[in-house]
Amino acid sequence: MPDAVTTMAVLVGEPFLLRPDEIGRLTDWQIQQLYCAKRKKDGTVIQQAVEPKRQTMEQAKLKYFAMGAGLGISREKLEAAWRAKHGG
Amino acid sequence: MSMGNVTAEPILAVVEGKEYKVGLITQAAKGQLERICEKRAREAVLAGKDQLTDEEFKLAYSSFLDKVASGDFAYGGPTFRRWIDSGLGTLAMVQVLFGVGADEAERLVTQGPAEVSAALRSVFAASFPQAPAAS
Repeated sequence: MPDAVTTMAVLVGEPFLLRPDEIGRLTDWQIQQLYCAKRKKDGTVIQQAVEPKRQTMEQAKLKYFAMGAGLGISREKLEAAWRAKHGG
Repeated sequence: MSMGNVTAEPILAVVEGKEYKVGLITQAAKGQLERICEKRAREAVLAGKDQLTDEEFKLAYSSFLDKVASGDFAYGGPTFRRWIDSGLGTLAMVQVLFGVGADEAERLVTQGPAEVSAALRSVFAASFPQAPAAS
């Protein structure tokens, strides 16, 4: 977050035109997430999409086998189930 | 993110069976805390006046004024950070955010440390943007 004076200067200017007492009631969260949200030229907010963490097939297989072993399923059964679902 | 972040509604805390509306850390609350921090530092300099010569006192007070000018007591400044992390800083924060006097703040921290700490954690979470999780 920029220094306090810069932030205040932005908020009292166009397009916000907030009074100092109105700024006084704002939290950093409100300033950063609402007033300073990244926008397109037309003013619409750019959605900050959260990319789900992707895992490789190898990582998924390791997790699957670890979970299966934890549940007491034999390696053979797990291999067969994995092949049936994903092939190979 | 919740609507509490958006509307900055106070958080409800119950300490020793009594309900308190705990304000979020707004720019005004930051200002109040800065003033308390600066006031305490000024009082500390003035308290030592009798033990100092005039020249030494002038130096000490001028050093204090330099710190004011350089933003040491501003929210996030070096002296402010050390102070707010201390017991005195916590008391001041309780005083400002719970809207109580110094004696009541001390009583709350002494008698309901867990409740006060939980309320302050909620206040911080609702007042500041969270840093994105490391990938």
